[in-house]
Amino acid sequence: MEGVRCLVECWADFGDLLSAKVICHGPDVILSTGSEHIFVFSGQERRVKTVLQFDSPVTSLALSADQCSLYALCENNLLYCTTLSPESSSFSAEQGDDPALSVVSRDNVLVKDGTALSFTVAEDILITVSLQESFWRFHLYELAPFSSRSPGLQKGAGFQVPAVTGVSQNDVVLQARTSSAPALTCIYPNSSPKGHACKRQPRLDPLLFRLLFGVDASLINSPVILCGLPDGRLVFSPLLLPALTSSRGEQKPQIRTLYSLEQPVAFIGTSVIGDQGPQCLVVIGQRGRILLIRANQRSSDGKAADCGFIEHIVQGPVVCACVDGEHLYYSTATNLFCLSLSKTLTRSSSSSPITAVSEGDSTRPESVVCLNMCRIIALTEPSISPTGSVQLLAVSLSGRLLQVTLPQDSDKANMSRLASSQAGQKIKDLLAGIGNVWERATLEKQQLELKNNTLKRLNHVLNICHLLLNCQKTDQEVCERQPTISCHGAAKWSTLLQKDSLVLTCILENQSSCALDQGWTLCLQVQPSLSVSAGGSSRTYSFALMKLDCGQKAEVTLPLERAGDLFLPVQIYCSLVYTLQSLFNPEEYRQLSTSDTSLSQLITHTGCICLSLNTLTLDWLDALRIGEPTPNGDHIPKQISTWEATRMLLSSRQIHTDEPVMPTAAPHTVAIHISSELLRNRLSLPDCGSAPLCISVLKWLLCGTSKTEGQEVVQSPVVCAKGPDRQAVRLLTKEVILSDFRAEGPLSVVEVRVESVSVSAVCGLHHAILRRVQALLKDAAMQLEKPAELRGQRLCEAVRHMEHLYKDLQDFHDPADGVMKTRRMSESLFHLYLQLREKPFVIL
Amino acid sequence: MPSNLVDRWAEENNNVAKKWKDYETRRKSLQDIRKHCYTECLKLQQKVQGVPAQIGHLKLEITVTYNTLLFSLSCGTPNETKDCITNILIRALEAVRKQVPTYDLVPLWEVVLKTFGGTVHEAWIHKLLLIQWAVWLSECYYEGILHLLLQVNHRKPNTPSGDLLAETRNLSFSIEDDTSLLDALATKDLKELLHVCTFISNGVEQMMKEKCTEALVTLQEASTQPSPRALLAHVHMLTGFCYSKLEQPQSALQCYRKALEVDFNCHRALYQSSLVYRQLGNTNAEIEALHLLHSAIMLRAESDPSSTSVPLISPDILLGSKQIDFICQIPSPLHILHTLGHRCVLSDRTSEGAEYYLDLLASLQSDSKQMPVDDGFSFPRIPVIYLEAAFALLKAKRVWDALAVCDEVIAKTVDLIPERLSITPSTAVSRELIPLTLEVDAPEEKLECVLWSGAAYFLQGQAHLQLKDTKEALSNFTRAINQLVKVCIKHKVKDPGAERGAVAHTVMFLEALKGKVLAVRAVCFVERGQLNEALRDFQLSLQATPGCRNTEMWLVEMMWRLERKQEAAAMWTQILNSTQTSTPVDLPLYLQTWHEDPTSFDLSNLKRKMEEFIQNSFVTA
Repeated sequence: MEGVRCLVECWADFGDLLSAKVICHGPDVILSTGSEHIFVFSGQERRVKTVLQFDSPVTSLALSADQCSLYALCENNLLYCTTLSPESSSFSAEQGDDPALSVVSRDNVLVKDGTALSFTVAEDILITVSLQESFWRFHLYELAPFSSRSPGLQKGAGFQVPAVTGVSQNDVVLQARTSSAPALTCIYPNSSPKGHACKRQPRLDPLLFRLLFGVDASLINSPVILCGLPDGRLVFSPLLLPALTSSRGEQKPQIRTLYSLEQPVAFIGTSVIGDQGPQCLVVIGQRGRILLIRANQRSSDGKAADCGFIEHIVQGPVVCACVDGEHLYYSTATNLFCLSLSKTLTRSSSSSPITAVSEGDSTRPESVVCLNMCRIIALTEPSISPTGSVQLLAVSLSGRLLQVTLPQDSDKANMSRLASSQAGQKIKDLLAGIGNVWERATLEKQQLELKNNTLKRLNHVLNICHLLLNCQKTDQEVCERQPTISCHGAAKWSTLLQKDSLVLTCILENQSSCALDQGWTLCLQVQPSLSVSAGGSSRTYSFALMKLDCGQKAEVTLPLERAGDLFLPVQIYCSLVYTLQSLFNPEEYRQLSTSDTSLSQLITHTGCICLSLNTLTLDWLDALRIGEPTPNGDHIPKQISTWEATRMLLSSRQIHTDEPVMPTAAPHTVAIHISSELLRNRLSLPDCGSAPLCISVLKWLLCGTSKTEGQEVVQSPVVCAKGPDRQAVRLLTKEVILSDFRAEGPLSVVEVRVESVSVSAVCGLHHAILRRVQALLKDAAMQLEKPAELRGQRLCEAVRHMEHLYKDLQDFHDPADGVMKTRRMSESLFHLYLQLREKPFVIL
Repeated sequence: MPSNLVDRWAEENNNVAKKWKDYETRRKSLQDIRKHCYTECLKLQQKVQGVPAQIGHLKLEITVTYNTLLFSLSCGTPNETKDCITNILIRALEAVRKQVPTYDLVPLWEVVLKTFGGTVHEAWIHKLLLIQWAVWLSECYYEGILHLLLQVNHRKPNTPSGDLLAETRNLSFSIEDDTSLLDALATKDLKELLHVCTFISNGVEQMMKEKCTEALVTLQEASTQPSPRALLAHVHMLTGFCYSKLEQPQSALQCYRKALEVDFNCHRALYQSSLVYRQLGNTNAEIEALHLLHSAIMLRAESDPSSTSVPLISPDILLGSKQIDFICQIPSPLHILHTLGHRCVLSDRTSEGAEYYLDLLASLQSDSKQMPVDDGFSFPRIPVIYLEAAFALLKAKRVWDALAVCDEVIAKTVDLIPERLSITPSTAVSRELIPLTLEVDAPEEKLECVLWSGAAYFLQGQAHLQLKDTKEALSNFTRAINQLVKVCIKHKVKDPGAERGAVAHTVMFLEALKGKVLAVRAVCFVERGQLNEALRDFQLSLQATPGCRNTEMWLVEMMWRLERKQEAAAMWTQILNSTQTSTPVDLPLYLQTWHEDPTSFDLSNLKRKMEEFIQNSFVTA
C-alpha cells in the first residue's frame, strides 16, 4: 500500500471534538461540531460568518432542496429548521469580523415527537426514521413551500419494518442507544428530468435503478429512500409511489429489504465508473465491509439483465466516507484512504463469475491508496478545483477544518523535474505531510501505550489469580503455609451517636509478592450460619481497594447488626473481585466503547473475575463486651433524648413481660468441664498452677491466645461482660477435682461456667465454647500421635446436639406473634435443656 | 391604568379576548396571532395564580384560565391542558378553604361540583366544565362526560337516564356572563358546539360499530341543532352514508346533495355519491361526480391554506383525529383520476377517458410531487396503468400516443425476462420465507413482466393494424407471441375454479392473451392472403382459449377457403352441436375487446354458405 502526499490546508481550528458533520453550501461550509453550535464558515474569507445556537447538541444536519434552509436534528431528538439567508452574510460583513450569533429556539422545531434518530430531505418531503416499540418507523412529512413565513408541516404516510430483536425489548433500546443512527439517503434515477434539484443527490443508472427498486418506481421516476439500519439491513421505499395492489388485490409491501451488510452502515452513495454515468451503488459498513452493486446488461444469449453484488472488506472501523467519480474515500480513525472502485470491479469481475444473488466474493482489494491523513471524522462531497484536482473538506478529531487537495494522478505526480515555481508548493506539501505524519505518529503511540497498559494490567490480574488459586489447591491438600493474601477479622463494639453497635473490622493482608492494583474489590458476604428463619438473608459488602502493595494491610469496617437483630454465629466469606472494565481507565473505556462496540459490550456483559479468600466465623465469645462489670445491666447515659429513653424503657419492659416464666432472680448457668491436663498440653502451659491456668483458659477463650501478653481485661478467673443482646453475662473458670469420674483416680478438670439472665446468651456462649474446644481438639489430633478419638466423637455429638437445641430455641423465639402459642412448647423444651445442662460435660 | 391589581388583570384579560375577536371579525392576516394570544394568556395566568386563591377574585381567575384553555386546546399539548384544568380546580377548592381530596380529575370534579353547586360561582365552574367536556370528547371518553353531566343535571328532580345523548339534550346549565370579564369564545357558543359534536361523535362511533339505524336517529337529531356550516355538511353526509348502508340509495343521494348545498367543501359527500351512482349503474352521473370531486380537490390544493381563517375551537379539535379521518376520508387525486379514466373507457367515452389517463400519467411522473398518503385506497401496479392508458388512447384513435406509452412499458420490462421462465404454480411459500431476493428476480414478478411486455406488443400490433400497416402489426404480434412462449408452466392447474394463487392468476391472463394475439395474427395473415399460416394460428389460438366461438367460425371459414369443405362442414356441425362455451374470464381492462375488434366475424355469410353446402352434400348423398 503505497502512500500519497496530499496538499493540506488548515482553514480553522475548533478545538478537540468528539463528532462532527460538515456539508458544503455554495462557497460556505456548514459545520457541526457535536455541540449546540453550528458554524457557517466562509470558504473565501476563511472565517466563521454565523454561529447558530441550538437547545441541544446537534447530531445531524441537511439542506433543503433549494439550499435556503437548514434542517438539524439535535440530541433531544427534536428536528429544527432554520433559514440560511444570503443577506445575513452581507449584514455580518458590515459588522466586521465578529461572527453573527443567531439563536434557533423552540419555535423553529419542526418535528416534535422527539423520537427521530435520523432524517433526510428530498423533493420537499422530510423523511424521519425512529425506533418505536421494536419497529423502525419511517414518517413522511410534506414541507410547505417557504412562501408562507412559518414552515408548515403536513404529515403524510408512514411505514415500518420490524427491528431485529435479540432477546428482549431492552436489547432493542440498548441497540438504539449504543449503535449509530440509521444512514438515510435518497437516490434518484439518472433519467429523472429534474436536474437542478438533485445535483447533490446520488443518482443511479436507470437499469440498475429498475433492477434494484422495481419496475413501478422506475416507470414514474420516483426517487427512492434507501436506509441502512444499524443491524446492517438495507431497506428501501419508493418515495412518490402510492400504495399498490397487484392484479389479485394483494397489497404490495411499501418497504422492502435489499440486502444485509451485517454491520452498521456508515455511508451510502453512487459512483461513476467509465463514461456511462452512475453505474454502481456503493455501501460501506462501519467495520469495513464494502458492498458494490452494479447491473449486468441483458446479454446476447438471452440471459435476463440482473445485478451483481460484490463485497469487499477493508480494514475498519470506517468513521466517514464519500464518493467521487470512481473513487471511494473513507477514513478510519487512523488514516484516510482512497479506493479505486473501477480497479476493484474489473478485478473481481475477471476473477469470479458475478452471481445474481448475494454470493459476491469477499476479497481484500489492493487498490487502496493511503492518503496519510489521520483522525478525519467528517468529509464533504468532493469537488474539483480549477486546476482539475480533487478537493475534499475534512474535519479532524482535533477540530481542524482542512482542505485536502489530492494529487492529480499518481502517474503524473511522478513526473521527472519540478519547475522552480512548483518547488515552493512542493515544500509546503512536504511540510504539511510531516505535520500529518507527526500527528499520526502521536496517535499511534497513544494507542500503543493504551494497549501496553491494558496488557500489563491484565498480566498482573492473571498473576494474582494464579497465586490465589494455587494457594487454594494446596489448601485442600492440608498445607500449613499461610495464604499469601488473607483476611482477618475481629468484632468490636463501637458507640456512635450514643448507640452501641457491633461492628466487624476486617483486615486484608497482602503477604504475596504481587501488589493488588486499583480495580480490585473486597467482597464480604455475611451469613448467619445457624438460624433457619434468618437463613438466606445474607448481605454482601464490597469495598473498592486502592493500591495495596506487598506487606500492606487494608482495614475495612462493616456493621453486623441489622435492624437490631443479630444472629450469631455468623460466617463471613471473603473474596476478591476484579471487574474487567477496570482494565481501562474511564477515558480509555469511553474511547473503546465508541471505536469498538463489540469488545466493549463483551467486557460489560461478561463482568468480572472472582477469587474466594478465607472464611471467618464470629460467635458469641467474639461479640462479648468485656470490662463493664455491671451485674444488673443498663445504666442510662445522662445525655439521652427523651424519645430514646422512652424507647429503652419500653423495650426493657417488654423483655420483662415477655419472659415472665423465667426465674429472673437466679441466672441460668451452664458449665463445661475440660481436663486440666488436656488444656495444659494444648495451650502449651506445661507446668502451670491452678489459678494461672484458669486465667489462661479464659484468655484463650476470649482473646484467642493464652499467652500472658494478651489483653489486660482478663486478670481474674471471673469475667463480667455484656452480650450482644445487652444482657450481662459472667464467665468463671476454676479447677475442680472429679473424684468419681474414672476408675484410675480423681481427675483434675477446669470448669468453665457461664451465668446469665438471658437464655440465649447462655446457649450461645455454651455453643461457642464447645466450638473452640472442638477446634482445639482437632488441631491437637493432628499434632499428637495418640488421638482421643472416642472422646472427640462424643464432643462432636454434643456440639451437634447443642446446635440443634440452639436453633430450635431461636426459631421459637423468632416470630413475635407466635409467642403465645409456642410458649408451652418452649417451656418444656427449656426444661429439657436445663436438665441436659445439669450434668456438665467432661472433656478429657 | 387601574391601580387595583385585580382590575389591571381583568383589563389584560379583556385585551387578549378583544384582540382575538378583532382577528375573527376582521380576518386580519396576522399569522400566529393564536400562538401570541396563548402566550399572553399563559403569562397573565401565571400572574393571577401568583397570589393565594381567594374567593374574591375567583371569577377573574376562572375567566383567565378559561381563555387560556380555549387557546390551549388548539396550541398546547394535551398534558398542558389537563394540568391546567387540575390546577384551577384545586385553586377553586383552596379559595373556599376546602380540603383537596385527590389530584385525579374525576373525583376532583365531583367534589368541585358539589362544593360550588347553587353558589354564585356555579356558572363560572360550568365554564370550566365545558372545557373538560371538549377535552374528553376529543379523547372519546364518553363515560367521563356522562358522569359530569349527570352531576349537573341530577340537582333537578328528574330521573337520570344514564344516556349521554339524553343528558346532553336535557342539560340545564347556568350560563351567566359578566360584561366586565370578556371571553374569547362565548360560553353559549361553545356549549352549542359541544352539543352537536357530541351527537356527531356518538353517531360516528355507532357507524363504526355498524349500527346504522341507531346512528341515523342520532345524526338526524344532530342536524336539527344549530351548528357551523361545515359541521352541518358533515352531519348530512354522515346521514347519507347511513342511508346507503341501509340500502336506501335515493335518500342517501338526497342527503349528499344537501351536504353539498350547505358546504361544497364536503368532498366526502361527492365521493360517496359517486359510489352510490355506480351502485345504481348511472355511469354518467358517477363520472360527473368524480370529475367535480377532482376539480374541487385540485382547486383546494392550489389555494393558499393560510388565507382561510380557522375558528378558535374547530370541530376537528372536538371530534378527535380518528373520527375526522373517518368523516373526511377521500381517495387521493391519483386514485380519482384512475377511476375516472377507467369508468370512461368502459362506458365508451373514450376520448375523455384517454384525457384522464394522460393526466394520470403526467401526475405520476411526479412533477406535481404528490406525497403518498395512507388513505386506505389501493392503486394498481404502474405498468398496468400504462397499459390501460395505451388501451384508452388506442380506443380514442390516438395511435401514436398509444405506441409511445407501450414503448415505455416494453423498455422497462423486456430485458428482465430470461430466455426461458419455468414456473411452478405452487403458491404455498410466502414471500417472507424467501431470503432477500430482489423484487425483479422473483419468478412472480418475471411472470408479470412477461404479461406486461406481451400485452404492450399486442397493443402496439393493434395500433399498427389501425394504421393499416399489417407488416409492422404482424411483427409486433410475433414479438408478443415470442414473449409469451418463454413461459413454461411445470404443472398445469387442473381445476380452474379452485382457489388460485397469484401465479395461476397471471397464467390465466397469459393464456387469454396468447389466444387473442394468435387470433389477431391469423386475421393479419388472412388479410395478406397467407391462409395456411392463418389456419395454423387459429388452431393454436383455439388451443390456448378453447371454446371461443369466434375463432371456431374463423377456422371453418379458413378450411372452406382452403377448399377443405368436408372438414369445414364437419366442424360446423360439431360446433353447432357442442354446448361447450368459453368460460368467461374477468380480464384486465387492457385485454378487453371492443367493437372494432379486427377478429370479429360476420357470421351470416358463413352460415348461409355452410347450410347450402351441407344441404347439397345431403342431397348428393
